[in-house]
Amino acid sequence: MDFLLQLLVNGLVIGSVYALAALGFVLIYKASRVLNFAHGDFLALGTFVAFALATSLRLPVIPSIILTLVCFFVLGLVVERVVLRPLIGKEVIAVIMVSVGLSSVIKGIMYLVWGPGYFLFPEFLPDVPIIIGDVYLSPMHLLGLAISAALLGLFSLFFKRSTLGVAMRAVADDQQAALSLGVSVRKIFAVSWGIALVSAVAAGVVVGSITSLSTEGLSAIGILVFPAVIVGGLDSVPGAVVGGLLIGVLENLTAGFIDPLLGVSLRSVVPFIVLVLILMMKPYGLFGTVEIERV
Amino acid sequence: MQMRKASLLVLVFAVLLAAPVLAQDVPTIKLGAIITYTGPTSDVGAHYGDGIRDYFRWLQDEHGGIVDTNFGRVRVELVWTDDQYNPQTALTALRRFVSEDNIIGVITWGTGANLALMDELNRVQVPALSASFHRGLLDPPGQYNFFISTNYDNHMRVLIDYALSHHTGSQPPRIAFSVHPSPFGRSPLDAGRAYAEQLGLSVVASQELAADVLDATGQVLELRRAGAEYVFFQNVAQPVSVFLRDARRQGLRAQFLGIHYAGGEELLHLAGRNADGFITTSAIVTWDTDVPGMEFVKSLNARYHPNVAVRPPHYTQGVVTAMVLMEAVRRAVAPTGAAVKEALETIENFDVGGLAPPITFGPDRHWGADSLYLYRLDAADNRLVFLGEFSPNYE
Repeated sequence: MDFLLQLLVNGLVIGSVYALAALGFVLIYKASRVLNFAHGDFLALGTFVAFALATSLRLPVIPSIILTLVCFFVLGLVVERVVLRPLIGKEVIAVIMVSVGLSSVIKGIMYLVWGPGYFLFPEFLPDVPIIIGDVYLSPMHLLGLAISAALLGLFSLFFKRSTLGVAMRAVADDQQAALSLGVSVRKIFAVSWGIALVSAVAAGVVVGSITSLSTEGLSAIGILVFPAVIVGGLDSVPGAVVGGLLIGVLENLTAGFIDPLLGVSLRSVVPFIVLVLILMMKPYGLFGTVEIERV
Repeated sequence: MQMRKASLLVLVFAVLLAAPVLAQDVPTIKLGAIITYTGPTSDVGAHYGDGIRDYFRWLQDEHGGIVDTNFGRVRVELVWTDDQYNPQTALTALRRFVSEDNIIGVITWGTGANLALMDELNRVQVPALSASFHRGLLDPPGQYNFFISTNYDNHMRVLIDYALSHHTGSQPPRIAFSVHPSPFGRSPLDAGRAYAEQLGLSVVASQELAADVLDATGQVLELRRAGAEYVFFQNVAQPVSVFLRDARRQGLRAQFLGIHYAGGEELLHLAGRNADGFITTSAIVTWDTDVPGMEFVKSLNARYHPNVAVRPPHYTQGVVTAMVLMEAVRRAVAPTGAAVKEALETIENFDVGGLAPPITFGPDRHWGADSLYLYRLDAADNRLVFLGEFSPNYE
């Protein structure tokens, strides 16, 4: 029972990071129908920038992270303005290919600047386990969970209560209707990119603090969130949260119960099997918008 | 005065005209390097690649790339590419190097890529020195694959022997394997299991740990439940560091041991105090080892990478591998891959300045050494403590 509980707790912690990373992905898709294949690379770049501020410029860790989040909000606006906006009205595949290209460019920059090695984010919490009952938790994991929960809560409030958030939902719902009501769709696209990059960097910093920083490792999270966002429904913020948590828990349960029986690791495969099963029953994901086309 | 000017002019022209002729007198031969600078395992692969490339840069800068061989004086040129740890990319690169550059020898990286290259190397008759010590690369014996150490199976056996010789716990000792989910990771698993069985050890678990793992709690808890006393890793440093962190958090008290690429300076850097006491095999000595060859290795690094202070053994491994390939080129009787392979097979007790055990190859012996080094990671002093050189005799 303790074994199961420990696996569930760890699954939720890792799942909350996936959820945070998935949120940015969903935001962009929800607002502009763009599948951003460079999401993992932005996440990695942001984490490396925070790392550089904290180590090369010797800024304290927390201000480094906050400064990076601000910079990446601005970067999101710039990327939308310079790279994505000229593509409005073009084929979806063109936009996807641009995001694939962006991914290569960002990865190249990271390899040029930091190389392929692993780096350690400066420790800002003691790494002494906290034991509740028979469940072990580390302060870093708890902070990761807290940051993910706080940001997800904040975004949820933002979408429900703020004018901008409501406008973003309106644009996602029906661009034409939103335009006719005076909502600036361009502004919404830009803000979506800004917020998406902020959530990506936040997730990256949490992952970087829990494990280590590497170009490949962090960029790969962009792929890991795919099952999370698709299970949840590509355009659903609550779906991203549920999908992320589900994938995190599934990975851990697989590692704990199925892998020992087989002697091979299926933890990365099981999420994709679940993805296929869910999509067979609910083609638009658990919370995705069902689109009906009448010809 | 006019006369002097004219003769000077004639002299200059004569030199200018002769220069290309002189250059043409020395034919160029090319060697290849298919290494991993980006993608999985590139954190280690980049050091290996730097070692190889720095050696050939030094050869070019100090000697103009000119070496004397049994088939005459030649200029040696290295052509290299990044395979991104992708076997298909490695295969494409090999084909290009063979058809466009006519390479007569190649240095390669990962197990997966080397397995993909095997048939092609035999077909085009170009010998490869690989960074992978996978036993299957030398099966059947006498083909075109070589590596400078003993195989991973023997690395694993040395670790098992070491654990057993220091064992004071339960009888029989309870051991577990944790490997990378790839041909590289699974390479020594069968031999390790068979050897453990032969010695009467109890294998309580066999796990896989992916390179991008964020959390190893599931694996750690399974080993804690199974009461594992020794965990043997065949992996790279990053996932092992995640495992060691979670092992400490979850109170898994076992002795951790790993093969060549799992431990070393990177693990110490990544895992810090969690890696204290970790035991690793190594085909190569560490950076602060006082051996004659290390001065040359450090001078290469200082010359071409003045900002890099310390290198893991994989940099030295790259230099040593390049030295061995160049020795074979010097011994070859013709500028062909087949001749270089035959030359490699004549290398016996080749001294690499103490950087690795002396290298010996033969027609049916394509592994370079029978012995390897054992180190213990000491987190307090941030260094690797030399435990000894072990020469197993298992075959």
